[in-house]
Formats: sequence, C-alpha cells, structure tokens
Amino acid sequence: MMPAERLNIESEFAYDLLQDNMELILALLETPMSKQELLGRLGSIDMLGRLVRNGLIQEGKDGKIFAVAETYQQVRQEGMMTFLQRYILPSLNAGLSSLHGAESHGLSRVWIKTFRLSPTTIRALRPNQFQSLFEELLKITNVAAQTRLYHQSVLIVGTSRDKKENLSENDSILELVKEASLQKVSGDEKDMAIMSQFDCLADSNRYRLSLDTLERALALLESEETSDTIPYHLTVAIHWRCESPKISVVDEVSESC
Amino acid sequence: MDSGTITYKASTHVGDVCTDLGIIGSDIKEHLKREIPSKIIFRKTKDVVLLSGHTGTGKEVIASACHRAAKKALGRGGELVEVNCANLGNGIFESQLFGYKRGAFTGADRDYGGLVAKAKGGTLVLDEIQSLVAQDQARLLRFLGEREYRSVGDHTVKQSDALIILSTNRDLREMVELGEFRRDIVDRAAAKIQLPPLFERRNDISELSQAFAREVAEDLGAKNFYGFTRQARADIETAIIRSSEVSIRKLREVVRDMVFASAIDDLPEALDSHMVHPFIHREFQFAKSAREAMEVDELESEFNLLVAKTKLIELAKHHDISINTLNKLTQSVQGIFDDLGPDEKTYRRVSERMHRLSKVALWLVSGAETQADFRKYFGTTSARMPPKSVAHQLYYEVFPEARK
Repeated sequence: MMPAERLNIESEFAYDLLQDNMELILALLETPMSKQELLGRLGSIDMLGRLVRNGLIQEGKDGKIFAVAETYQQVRQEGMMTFLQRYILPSLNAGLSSLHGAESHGLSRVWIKTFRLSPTTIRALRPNQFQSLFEELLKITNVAAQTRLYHQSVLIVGTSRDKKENLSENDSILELVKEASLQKVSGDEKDMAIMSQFDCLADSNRYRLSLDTLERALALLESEETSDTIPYHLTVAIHWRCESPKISVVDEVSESC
Repeated sequence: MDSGTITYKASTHVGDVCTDLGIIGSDIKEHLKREIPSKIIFRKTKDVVLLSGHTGTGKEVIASACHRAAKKALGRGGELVEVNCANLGNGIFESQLFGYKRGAFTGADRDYGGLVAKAKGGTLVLDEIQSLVAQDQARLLRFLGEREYRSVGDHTVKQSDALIILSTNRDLREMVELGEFRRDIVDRAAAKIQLPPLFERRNDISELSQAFAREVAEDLGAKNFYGFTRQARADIETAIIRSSEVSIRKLREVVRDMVFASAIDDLPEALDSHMVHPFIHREFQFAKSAREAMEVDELESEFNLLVAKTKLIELAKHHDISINTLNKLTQSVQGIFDDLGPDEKTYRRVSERMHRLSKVALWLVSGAETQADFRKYFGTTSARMPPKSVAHQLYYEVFPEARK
C-alpha cells in the first residue's frame, strides 16, 4: 500500500501523538519497521495502538509498520508560548548560536531579510511560495541518503508589523518572532504572519541541497519586490541536528531592504 | 564545606522530600527549594516560621515537607505535631499546648505533657493561627520569644527546641491593622514562607490537572487514559489564570467532575478542549476568546523575559560565571534597585546596600551563633559577623517589604 501524499492532522489526540513521537514518525517516513522493532523504540503496546487508532501509522500486508503519508501537516493546537518553546525557539537558538560562533547541537544557518511586498503577495506567501518551498524540501527527502540521517528543521517566520530599529541580531530575531506571534493570534491580521516549520530527516547531502533550495527561494522572493509596497520582515532558519559539530560551514547573514 | 555545597545539599533534601510526599508541580517544588533551605535549614530551625497561603494551596503538606526537610538536613529525630488553633478555644489553649499537672484544675486527673513537649526535636504546626483569641495570643507570644514554657500547675520552666510553624490562610498584617491580631507575633516569626496561589503557578496547573485526571482514571480502571490533550491543558491554564483561582482543591474537584462525566460513555483516551470547555466555562467563566486575548497579553512579557535571558547568557559567558550565580546577583540588585526612590538610584547607594546584604547572607549561610563559630567557618580571625539583631535590621532595610 502506498502512503498518501499528505495527512492533515485535525484532532487534538493526533496532534499530541505527533508531538510526542516526532522522531519515530520521521524514521518511519524513511523506512518502514517491523512491529517488534517499533515496539522496541516505543516501549509500549498501548502507544502503538494509539498511533494506529489515530491514523498516523499503519500495518502493511508484509507485517511492516509504515507512515500513512509522505507529509504530516498540522496547525498549532496548543498555547502559543508552549508552541514557540517547542518549535520556533530551539531552531532559532541554534541559528543564533551559529551566527556567534558558539557551539550548538548540529549545524544551522539563519537568514534575516526585509522585503518590500504588496499585501496580496504577502497573503499568498504561505499558501503559494512557501507551500512550494516545502514541497521542494519534501522532494529532497526522496534523494537516497549517503550518510547517517538526523532530524532537520526548516523554520520560516514572517510579519508585516513594524520592527524596532538598531537592535542586535539576537534581539531583532526575537522581536520578529514576538511580532509574528502577536499578529498570528490577532484575528484580522492573522494571514499576514507566517510561522511554519518543516521537519524531516536529512544526511549531509540533503542538508546541502536544502540550503541551496532555501537560497533560491529567497532570491525568487527578492525578484517580487516592488517599491510602492510595505516592508515584510522574514527570518528563515535551518537546523540539522547532526552529531558532528566539528564540520565547518561558513555562516552568513544576508539582509536586504 | 562552602556555601554552594550547603545550598546544593539543602535543596536536594527538599527535592527528595517533595518526591516522598508526592508533591506535584515544578513551580511549587522550585519555590520550596528556595524557601525551605533559607527559611528553615540554614537557620537550624531556630526562627519561627509563618506559613501563609490561600485556602486549598496545600499548607498541610508543605508544613510536612518543612518538617521532613529539617529532619533530613539537620538530622532531627522528633515527630511532627499538628494542631488546629480553631479547636483550642474555651481556655484549653494553654493546657493543651504546654501540658498540666495532675490536680491543676477540675478534671486534671493525671499529668499531661502537652503538644510542645510532644514536638521535642521535631516540629509543632499551629494551624489557623488567626483563630487564637487575644489572651491566647499573649501566651503564645511569651513562648515564641524565649522558647520557654511552664505546664499548668507546674513551676518548672522547660525549654523547647521544636521547629515552630504558624500556619494561616489569612493576611495577618491586615488583621494587625484591624486590631484583630498581635503585631509582635507576626514580627516574632522571622522566617516567612508565602505559598503562591494556584493562578501564579502556571506549570503546576497543567501537571496537577494531569495527575488528578489520571487518579480518577485509575480508580475507574481505565488503563488507556492519559489525561488531557495539550490544547485542553492550555485552556484549563487560561481559565485558572484569568479567573485568578487560588485553590488546588477546586481544580481537583473540577477535573474529577470532567473525568467522571466523560466516563458515563466509554472514557476516551484523553479529554480534548471540546470536552473540557463546558466545565471550565461553568466553573471559571472561561470563553475561548479569552485564550487568544491572554496570549497577546502574555507574549509581550514572555518575550521581554526571553530577551533578558539571552542577555544574561551572553554576560555570564563573558565573565565566565554560571548563569545561576548571575541570576541571583541580578535579583538581589534588582530588589535593592526597586526599593530605592527615583533620586536615590545611584551606584554608591546600591553598592552600599549590596555590601550590607552580603554580610547578612554570609551570616545566615554560616549558621553561626557566635563570633567564634563565624570565624571558624570562614577560617580567619578578621571575619566578624553582625549581631543577629543588626543582621535582621540590615536585612529589613534592604528588603523592607519583608517586614510588611
């Protein structure tokens, strides 16, 4: 049985299960596992039953357990602060550490940009440009792995709200996340803010391909800039949690107005 | 042994005690890890403790934690004796507390040692201290001052070494202002532990809700039940915070109601936000829109904290000291800074007060009773501890709100 292309997570139970078993689901997206192997990693038959009952994984005819879709798409179903603490801030922290040359778990990179875009373009960013970006990143996960796989997150945070001037890089990013999250919980401005994360498994090759893809997507966005429009602040971060932090990758910050 | 080791060991003892007593909630545990060492262990149980908190905040179990922590850290062997002062009216306060000799009054047909004697080497908890009548307050004051007492009908003066905890759900300072309670008893309780109300313990709300829900499920034999979904927990948190609910007991009742009501059909594997909304709406007037409004309110302050934390990390790295140390120093300086008037916030004034405070802190940490002990502790003849009365005076000068 082939997995479906996308699974939209709507129930709160499934959302919680996905949060609690993210690493395992990512591993199943790569390779199906035997029931025994899966039980070894889950540690409980109850949890296995729960994952199956909530439609996140399935048992194939060959007895292997596989992920039911190529992509699991979810919207936030918890308080904004806990959501930020779990997803957004760890990825950003890793990006910030790399900016300052401090040690972080794995490799990371962050881009801080300001584009001038029309409100229509801004509203279309998430459903169009970034949805396509995520699909391209998804394609990369189909590239055969050459080395060991590790969890990789790509984070996009954007807001049309004004940002204070003359802030340090750290403060500037935190300010951006704050404004984006405030905009996200304000009913009428909701669709002007972006706060999306894409999680997958990657080896060094997929990580490099993802970097290139992100660079291209940002360059494409630059080409959509027009002068009579509003500033849109965007931060993009990638965090690959590999276990060899000694690999050196040159980090840079690009800014444009 | 340096002060860091003492602090570490004391807070480890408190952590162990919390586990033994099944105290739930990371916020309250952190609070106790700070309060019990500084208010009880470092003072070697010599100062009277005033334990205050709203009804339903778990004062009884916290008093028990204080007793056990003192036992573990200081090797005390006595028992925990608890008495509700509301039951000590009608002239029996003195005889119950201090004991009596046979024939001291009508009905005294045998010698009775009393509760203070029973708590020898242990802890005496006087619960609902606000219910004491004026005459009994005066008797208590004499005892708290010198730790000396006489049984009714006996002339022998006895000494007590019990840790004394006065427990109340009322604001005693307010009662003092109204003339309903003696100021000197409040002043005599040099160690004050204030339990935060439930709505100020954000993490605890979620952890307690899960624990209460699982407790019911266990009674019902529902093995697959795991509590509340994240969204449901976030909504319960919002409801408690928005309604300023103080009582853990109330939360427990509401959670039990939710689970029992859901168990009428088959209990699901968890309760989601749709299932909890009718209950939190009824009990805490929760509306879904409140969550978003609160998120907007909170994000601002949470982010400010985050920015401050980031700065603190950078500073700690720069000076090569631990974040905890820097954090504590920052809090002390902030306390002093907040206390100074707008024209007084100068470097000189802050550093003067900081210097005085450090003297008090060193004295408290050393636990010394005499100059000789103090010198022995710091291994130098030039070290001089401030006398206890001066130390308290300095402490209250730096943190006057502690006296209120």
